[in-house]
Amino acid sequence: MSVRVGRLAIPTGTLLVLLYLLFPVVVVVLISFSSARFLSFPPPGYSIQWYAKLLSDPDWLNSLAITLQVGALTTVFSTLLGVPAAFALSRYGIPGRSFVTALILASLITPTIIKGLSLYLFYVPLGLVNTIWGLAAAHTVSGLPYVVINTIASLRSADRDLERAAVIHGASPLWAVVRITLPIIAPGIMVGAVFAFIQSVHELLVALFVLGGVEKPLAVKLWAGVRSEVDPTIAAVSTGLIGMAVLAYACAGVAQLLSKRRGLPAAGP
Amino acid sequence: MAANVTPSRGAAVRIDRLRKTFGSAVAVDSISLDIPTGSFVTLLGPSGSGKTTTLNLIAGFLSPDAGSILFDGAIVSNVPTHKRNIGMVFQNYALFPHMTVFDNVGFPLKMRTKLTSAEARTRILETLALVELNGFEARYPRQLSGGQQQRVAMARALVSHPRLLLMDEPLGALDKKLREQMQFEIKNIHRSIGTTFVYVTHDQTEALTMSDLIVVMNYGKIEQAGTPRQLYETPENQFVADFLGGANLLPGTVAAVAADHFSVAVEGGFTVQVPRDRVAAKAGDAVSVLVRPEEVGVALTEDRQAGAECVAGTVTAVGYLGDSLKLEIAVAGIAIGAKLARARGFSIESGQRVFVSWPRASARLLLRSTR
Repeated sequence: MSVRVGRLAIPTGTLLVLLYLLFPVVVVVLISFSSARFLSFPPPGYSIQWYAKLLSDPDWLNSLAITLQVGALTTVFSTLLGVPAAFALSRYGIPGRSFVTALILASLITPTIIKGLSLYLFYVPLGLVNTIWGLAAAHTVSGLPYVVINTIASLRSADRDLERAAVIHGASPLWAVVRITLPIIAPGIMVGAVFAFIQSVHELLVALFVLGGVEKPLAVKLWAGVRSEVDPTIAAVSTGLIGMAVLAYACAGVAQLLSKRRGLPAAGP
Repeated sequence: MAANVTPSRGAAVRIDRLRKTFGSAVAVDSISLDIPTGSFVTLLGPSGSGKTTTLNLIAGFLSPDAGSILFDGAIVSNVPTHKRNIGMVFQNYALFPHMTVFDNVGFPLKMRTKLTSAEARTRILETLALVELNGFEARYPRQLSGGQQQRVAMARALVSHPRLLLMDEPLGALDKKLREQMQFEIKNIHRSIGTTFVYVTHDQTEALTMSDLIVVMNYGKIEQAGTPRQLYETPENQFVADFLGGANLLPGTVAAVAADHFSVAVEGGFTVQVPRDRVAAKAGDAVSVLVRPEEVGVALTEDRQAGAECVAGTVTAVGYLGDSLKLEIAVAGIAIGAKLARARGFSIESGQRVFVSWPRASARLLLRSTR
């Protein structure tokens, strides 16, 4: 009897937790397809009018463009800085290695409001406030650790002898990294880059400080929208953002799967 | 064919007082060694003997603390690994997982030569034929068996006709049958291309089967270097005697030195005669008498023959190996191993009294190592 209860309790509990976690998402997605002119749940009927409205509104489209630009720049910066940093941290006994690692990871646990405020004060004299480059640089601080962690994990599981084999058969050490090591750890780097992109797209507080003026990324405009116009447009935007994240995770998942199929070491977390 | 391809004459490698330490551990302790051009040299030793470190120093993956390495008389210390024109087969093969067999084998050509793609193709197919792996060009390493991966690794190491081929325990991951087959194939490839081979292993059978020259290493030093026959038949110390093949080492003291033999009082209380050769021993020296197990004969009755030792003992262990019978016999408190070939129908049991004999000429005197 008690065994059967136990056997039922675990799946039931899991299901309840899942419902609890997914409920807000489900509500937002359903509302975004609502036929009503205001936020109500459950929706009285379904339509795609809010998406149509969104895609014909130049303000929202402009915000989408800004978000994608900032996200793309963040991803590129994080990758270009993070991959060499990961090589340096995992391959060479540079002095103060653990300190540097801790410093890079620290941005994951610094309260975002503090990051936003200090970046704002730092940016004003540099003229970086209200620039896309400024926000991308700010988001890179938070995106970098994801790339570094994932790249270090991939490097650890990659066989060093592969690089040696390339070098002894005539490749310069740099060329060996480019031709052999990078393709092998690429899925791991990609997972890190995807995380960096997603955190940039979803980040609000730093964006409010750095790019909260006339030109707004989606997250900031969404925040403003929640406070003023209460119609399902914002639900449609949120659904779009969730969709973007799901898509990005799916890409990372496919990359992982492909690397496993090719017999390469699995990438990070 | 392009003129910038180095001809496949093997390099003569000289190692001169080479030393490498890791922290306080001395991995290679001032060794000197001459590797003749085109020879097959095996560095043999237990793990931690410095053989792999020596190989990595030749490859240039490590730089020595002292001493030098010369290829054909030229010091290579300042030549980076990728310009040393070496091929290498790694223990785990280290095939590039994201490249096909064709691209793996073609990699050194791309890096080192300016061959046109048609010339490269010809060379790659030739090399794959050498390792008997034609028809696998489009496969990826993960689609190959261990033995096939081993062949690809050989082909990749040889394709650019390097003057030196390094092999780091390349057969370690294969099963016994495949390993024995590959030993002969590697030897055949060596004979047909004339490149200098430096092979690292801890497997004495591999070393004996393939090498022109075996270098036995222990604790970063060279214990003895010589042909397989020299090392097996005339080892210079207990370590070499014990490491190559089975060895009975009977502890004793030199009792008398005659013109053609030593008389040795073995610790158990019997005296044996050992032929006198270049070993410089005098009466009173602590020595070991080496008797190979396959030289030992076992009989149920005493059968003293001229030129043979014969002592009585008790069988303590019997092992049936199929092609031979392995016995352990206690003679006056000393265990003597015997390996009897053609033992079909010969039944013997633990506890039986037997007579152990060996030809005097097969025994060898070794000074007891002071290390």
